[in-house]
Amino acid sequence: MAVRVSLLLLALGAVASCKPLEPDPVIKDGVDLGPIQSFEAERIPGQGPHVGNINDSSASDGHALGIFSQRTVAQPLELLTEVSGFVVRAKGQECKGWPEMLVSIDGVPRLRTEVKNAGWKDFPGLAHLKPGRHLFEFSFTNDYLEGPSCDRNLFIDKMTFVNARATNSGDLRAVSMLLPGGAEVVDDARAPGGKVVGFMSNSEATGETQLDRPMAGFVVHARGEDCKGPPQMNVTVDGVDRYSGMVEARGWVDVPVSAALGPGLHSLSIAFPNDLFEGPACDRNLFVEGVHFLETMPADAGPRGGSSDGG
Amino acid sequence: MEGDSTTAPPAVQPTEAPKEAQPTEAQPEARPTEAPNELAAGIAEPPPAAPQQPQAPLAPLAPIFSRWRWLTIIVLVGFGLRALYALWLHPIGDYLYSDMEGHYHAAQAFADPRHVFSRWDIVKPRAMGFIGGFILSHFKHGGLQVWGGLQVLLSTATLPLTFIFTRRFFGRRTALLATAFLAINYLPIGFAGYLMTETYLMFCLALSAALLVPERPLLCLLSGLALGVGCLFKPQGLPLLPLWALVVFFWPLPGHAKRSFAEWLRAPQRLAAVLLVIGGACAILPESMAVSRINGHPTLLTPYGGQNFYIGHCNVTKMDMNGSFFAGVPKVYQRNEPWPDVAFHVPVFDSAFYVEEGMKCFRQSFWGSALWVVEQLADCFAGWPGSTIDPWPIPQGWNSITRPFNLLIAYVFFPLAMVTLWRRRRDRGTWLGFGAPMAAVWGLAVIFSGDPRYREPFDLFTIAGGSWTLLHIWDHWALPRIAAELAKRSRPVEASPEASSQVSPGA
Repeated sequence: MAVRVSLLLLALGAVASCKPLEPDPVIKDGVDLGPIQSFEAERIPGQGPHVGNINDSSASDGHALGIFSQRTVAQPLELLTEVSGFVVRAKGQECKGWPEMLVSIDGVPRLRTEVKNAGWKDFPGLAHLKPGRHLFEFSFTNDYLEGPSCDRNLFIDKMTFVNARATNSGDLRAVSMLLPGGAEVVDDARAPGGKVVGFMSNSEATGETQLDRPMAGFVVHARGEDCKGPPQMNVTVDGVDRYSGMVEARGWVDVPVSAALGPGLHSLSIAFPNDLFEGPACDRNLFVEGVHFLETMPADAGPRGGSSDGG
Repeated sequence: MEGDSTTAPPAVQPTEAPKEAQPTEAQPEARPTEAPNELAAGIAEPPPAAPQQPQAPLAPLAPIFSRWRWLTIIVLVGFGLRALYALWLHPIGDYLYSDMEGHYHAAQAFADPRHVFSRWDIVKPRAMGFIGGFILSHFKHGGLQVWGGLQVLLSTATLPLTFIFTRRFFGRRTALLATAFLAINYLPIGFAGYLMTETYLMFCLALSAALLVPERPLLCLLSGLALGVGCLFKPQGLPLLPLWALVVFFWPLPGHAKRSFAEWLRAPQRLAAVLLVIGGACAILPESMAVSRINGHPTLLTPYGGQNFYIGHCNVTKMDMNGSFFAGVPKVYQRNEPWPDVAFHVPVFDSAFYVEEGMKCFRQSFWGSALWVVEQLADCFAGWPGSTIDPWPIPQGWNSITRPFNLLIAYVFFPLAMVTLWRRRRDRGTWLGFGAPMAAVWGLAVIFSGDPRYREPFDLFTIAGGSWTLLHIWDHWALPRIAAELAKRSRPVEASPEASSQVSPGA
């Protein structure tokens, strides 16, 4: 009997003390095959009239979390893999100013930003987190109310995590970026590497790269699929809007973006905001192969054909 | 039918017989007392045949009805409840969700002659879609009710089949009791109304068990075939095939005589075990070959087994596979665990990838995984101590009536069936009738995840096994006490002064 009890205690001790391994994310041909972890903000329990679940067809899963007064909401989450950053998808309701969002992880502030958009937008942040349980807190710090017609509110859709990996240096392949729902890795034999990112619905891909010398700008290798108009592409570097324009070419083209970038780590996001689908014959999509940095920008600033069938 | 050789008694080894008497077909459960009791009389063996009496011309039918009247009544009640629920209270198409919706739309697609079969047609059980498609294309009007009618008939047919195999493995009275409970059990009634593949798997399991006569290799071949067909509807029946084959293969030969290995090997049970597996393979392999061809790599039956493995072993709430296939485990929503959603840029068809990812979670912590496995075993019986889920309670949809039946099986029939397995552990029939099916349920829980839905089609075996001990308790514990109590109450009346004063000494 004593032996059995000892074995049981030993087993329980081992369960309690067992340190989990750190499963690595699966990177194959530069593509992060997952698991890309995320959680829906609306799962955070409501707190009376101040915080609650709202219906929003444009949010993932059709729901989002609304924070209507100066509140902090918290959610514990068990991460499966090591992560190096996160992206919070949020939007605001303006009233003599936009809402400010503060994201803290395990009590440490990691992202403080003004949510100056009425539609969903991704806000990236850096945080190196080990697998296991962490506490995520979202604060709405500057509530303002002037009656029913003027009410400043904050809405959070979801939080997605960037798997830890060796930092990309130099050119950035689109397939190595964080791809939230709506963006897929698709095969394209005409693109280098054979794989590109297809933005099939309104979405935004986020990535990081380390530059070892100053750059004058970069080109985005992209193509579009037209449906009652071409797809729009918005490019942001380090949180600053650098490009917004239509990608009219059905073949691959280089879209030049001027941006003086110093050596160091830079975050970059590519967004497709004007999706349209009217059946298989009419589907507006954006495809991106990658971002190639240039030390000197070409004199011609217009999009250039990058492949034999480019147009 | 009673004298049919297919219902030969299980080979009870006198040398292996446990100390307590083991009722078998040859030695039906004996009642310790002849005290009158209506319930006991109702399910009791008929008295020994009386000497032949001259009978009226229609008389031969009377003993047959007398012998089968209880089973007939039970089947009719079962049919009535199923028909009432599936055709009137809950007609098919009235409420669609999850799997049911998938089968419904697959059937509609398959019924369309212009339908072009694609890779995506293999992510749901094809057998269900083909049956629904066949019915919908041949019965334009009322096709759904015809489909519902088929569900009712299959679910009802499970009842006599359950009686047959339970009678062989546990005895006639046990079989009647088990069939009676199965007839009124809401779970299979609900499966019929909710267009669930459980109805088909339960029918095939009961048919397979009814044909499982170790002394008859040809019947075992058919048994394997029936089980294989059940797996086409619901692959969770698959682990039972090797387990049953194992029990049949090691089936002992009757008598004490020592035999050579060659003689043992030549026994029909050995051939029966092999044919059982071949029968199952005949149904499973063509489907697997077709799926493998479409999938592009070897696949056993289902192309999404890897995804099931992953979600069973990794702490995730919901899975998104390449933006085109989503999966979640209902019990995770109940647990309200702080687990993330995950997305993979890999198609659901790549089972090997998802198994490898699942193994990473498994290897993260050995002891954590061991604890998880124990939880999965308990979760098969939702509501058990140690289980992480409630006894069925998906809000809106599953009626609360499911709960008492689940609890009854978890807390009454399963413990009693385990007692049966222990008391009759030397009887291989008990292993066929309950041990192997329960091992298959738990095997699934360990490999994938513990969920009452993986257990429910196998409930007919749990009910059969539990009914044996239930009757045993009735016969050996309850009935003698009731009889003694009745006798005690009647004695004072006989012995009372008033009664004795009324009887004159000289009378």
